[in-house]
Amino acid sequence: MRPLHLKDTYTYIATDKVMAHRLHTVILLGLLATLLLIAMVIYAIVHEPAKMSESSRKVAARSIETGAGLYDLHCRTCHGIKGEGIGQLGPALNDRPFFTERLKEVGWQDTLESYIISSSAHGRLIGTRPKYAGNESTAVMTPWLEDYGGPLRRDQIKNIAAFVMNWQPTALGKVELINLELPGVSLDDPNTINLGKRLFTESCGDCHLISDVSVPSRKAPVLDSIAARASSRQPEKSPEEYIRDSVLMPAEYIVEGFDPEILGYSCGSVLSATQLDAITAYLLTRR
Amino acid sequence: MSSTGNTGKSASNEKIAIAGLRPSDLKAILRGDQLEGTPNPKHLAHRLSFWFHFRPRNLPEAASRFTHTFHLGFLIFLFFLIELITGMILMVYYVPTPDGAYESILRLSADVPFGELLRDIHRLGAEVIIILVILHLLRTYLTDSFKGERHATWLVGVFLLVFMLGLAFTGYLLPWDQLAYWAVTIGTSMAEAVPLIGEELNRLFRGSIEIGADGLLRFYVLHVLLLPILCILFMGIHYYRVVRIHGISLPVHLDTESGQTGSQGGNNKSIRFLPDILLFETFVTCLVLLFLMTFSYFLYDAPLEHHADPSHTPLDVQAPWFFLWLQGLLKLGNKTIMGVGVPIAFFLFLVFLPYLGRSPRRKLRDRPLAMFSTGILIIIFVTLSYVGTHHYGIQLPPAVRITQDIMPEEGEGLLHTVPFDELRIGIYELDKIRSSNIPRSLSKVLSTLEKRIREASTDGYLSEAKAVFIIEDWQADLKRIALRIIWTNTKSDAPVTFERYIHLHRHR
Ligand code: HEC
Ligand code: HEC
Ligand code: HEM
Repeated sequence: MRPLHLKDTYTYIATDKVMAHRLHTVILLGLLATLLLIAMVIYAIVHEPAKMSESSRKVAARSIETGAGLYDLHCRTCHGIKGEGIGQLGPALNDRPFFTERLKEVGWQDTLESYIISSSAHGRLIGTRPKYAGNESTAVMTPWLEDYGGPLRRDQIKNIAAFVMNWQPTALGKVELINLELPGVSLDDPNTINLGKRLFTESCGDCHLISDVSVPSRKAPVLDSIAARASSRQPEKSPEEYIRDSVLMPAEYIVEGFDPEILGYSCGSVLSATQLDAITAYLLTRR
Repeated sequence: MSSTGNTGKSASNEKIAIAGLRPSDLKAILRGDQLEGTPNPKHLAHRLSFWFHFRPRNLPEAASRFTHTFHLGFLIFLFFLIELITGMILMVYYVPTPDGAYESILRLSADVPFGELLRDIHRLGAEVIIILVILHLLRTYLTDSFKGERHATWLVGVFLLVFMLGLAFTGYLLPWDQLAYWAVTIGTSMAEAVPLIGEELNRLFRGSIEIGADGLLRFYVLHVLLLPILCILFMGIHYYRVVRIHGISLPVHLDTESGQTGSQGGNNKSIRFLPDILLFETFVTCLVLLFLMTFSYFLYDAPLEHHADPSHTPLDVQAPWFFLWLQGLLKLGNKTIMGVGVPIAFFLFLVFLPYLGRSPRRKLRDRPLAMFSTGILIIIFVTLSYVGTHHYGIQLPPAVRITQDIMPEEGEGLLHTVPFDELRIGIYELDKIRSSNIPRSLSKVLSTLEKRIREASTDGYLSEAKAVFIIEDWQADLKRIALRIIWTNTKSDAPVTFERYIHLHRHR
């Protein structure tokens, strides 16, 4: 008796001989496909942990990218383009103390990331440090979350927080960035000085007198020869720095007879870094 | 419980397996065997039941030939099943709110084992289904298997086509990214153009003037509940008609003189469902699973762009490919005529197709009009789809166009092909570059940029154009890339600047 061949079973179950032949092929190929499928599944299972961590890295990376764009749009006017802080407008978010001391200072129990999210979501009515205290009539930082009247969604705040958190490696000195020397604004470029003159009339001319530019006023010091005296006001500062800081941190040096505490006002107006550069360039010409 | 019925000699001492039936009864039902003697009384009820006729018990061999049907109907059914299963798992993680949707998709890919794979398969499967349905429609039309007794099957098929497109469309919105949001905004803008009830219809779909929380929930319910139920129902009818009423048509060259085209007619050899067809279909299932698994694991990534932002329309908004023809129509003319009238007319045309020609000739060769018009229709659809893409008809200012191609707002541009480490920090003024030690990938971007700018200025758009490319180290593993294009406005002679910057992370 011939031993029973696998093919014979097909003949037994299939409709006829032709179909039995087809079945034979189908089953063989099917087995092959199944084996490949199983191999594929095993491969996927083995690699899944690695794949998942790569996905989370990717998600985190995109979050930082998105946060970088949003920060630039909403936060840099006060906290600085690279988080270095600007005068009295806003504190630095990229330095070591922010990452190591700040939580203890304010007594925050949770993580720094949640502190950033919460701080920016709610904004700040009164600054926690005298430098940023404000005048108590307006919030020093308005709320950013849309639920509290701000312009941002919660996921956007989270993105910005991820971006701010990414300053940690450089703040702690673990990573050095390559510094790119951007051609800064040249302070004796006539175009810049002209721009500065225009901006000065717009933003500062209400209080400060410069004889050929604005009408006499008793609100603030006359700036006719500011460049000459700027160097002597605060010897540790260059004239340029002094002019800059007068706008950014009026309380640092008080001109006699013009105490902001008594007057109830000071220079404070929000300018971009380039605009302030231009104004400074202009004022430096007033000897 | 023991049955008192007599089911024939060989089976009389078998145990009951299920529902009062013995294994031999089950086998007989599945295979449609004629029983001898007095059958088990329960047998008849089952033999006629809807469920056992979802599949034919046997088929004429010729109708099961691969080159006749390409098994497209079965493939659609299979993919639909896969969509149902993957979709149900996705539902567990998905949150249908504007606040939660996008994040739940992110969580799916980062925190859920096989979550990303699942999403890829679901999305890939959906696109494949659309292709399969279109091919199936063409197959039944070109083999002339849609007229006469098959007219109702065709009609049900047209409904299925609409439902499938509906599923694809509603599903498209769910990730709630910019791509989804704006594509669907364009898509639903057609509802507005419907005469008389446009505004109400728009409200009905979107939940308010713009798509928001209500709109998303509506799309969600349509996608996971109403449309799948309709599909299952109509597929049932479709199958029932194919299996019970007329059978799969025979290939044309086997037509009998009597004009019978179904499996019931003719004296063609028949093959049984069990085991031949079932085994074959199991085989196809294995292949399909293998394909889906491999393809979505290695080659396909379901797209996800930035979170939807109703206040910012991204440049180059484009509908998914299967709706590009609609976007093309919208671009060509009046919203009401092109966006509503023409599509409705097209689907009505499909509905009435079986009654238009009644010629008994089935051979494609004998149906020049059918062949010709199908060809023309395909050309029209492809052309319309091209018109729908952002390459046609939308003129961005040249500087924006160039920037958009190199570093687009959404998705990937030429710049993204440069590996992170080859984005060398520096200021690249296009007219001053000495390409000494610039990495190859980066210098490719720069030379493309230069070429595009040169072309634009010879075309008279950007006169005296200059471009600067600035790459800065911004944070740990983060670089900022700015592209600034400066040219002279020929009318006022004033310099004009366009600038865009993006941030790129090493692990993006
Ligand atoms: C109008 C200026 C201004 C803008 C714009 C601004 N901030 Fe602030 N921010 C401040 C001031 C002032 C403080 C208070 C510092 C303090 O309490 O000592 C502050 C505090 C913070 C703090 C807490 C810092 C600390 O050391 O306690 C965070 C975090 C913060 N801001 C994030 C943001 C983010 C994110 C944005 C952009 C969405 C933003 N800020 C925009 C002015 C601003
Ligand atoms: C609301 C009125 C006001 C505006 C507007 C104003 N300032 Fe002042 N500025 C003052 C007052 C008051 C002082 C003196 C108080 C002090 O020394 O801090 C002062 C002092 C200064 C000083 C130091 C003068 C000195 O003699 O040492 C400089 C420089 C200055 N402002 C520059 C500017 C610039 C630049 C602008 C425009 C961006 C500007 N200010 C806008 C009120 C104003
Ligand atoms: C969307 C889900 C659909 C499913 C699951 C489906 C399934 C099937 C199946 C399994 C068959 C048997 C023959 C074959 O495999 O080709 C069939 C036949 C048929 N289908 Fe579909 N179909 C669908 C959509 C459509 C559409 C969109 C049309 C056309 C508008 C259509 C028209 C027909 C016709 C006319 C037949 C009979 C063909 C014949 O007898 O040869 N179907 N369908």
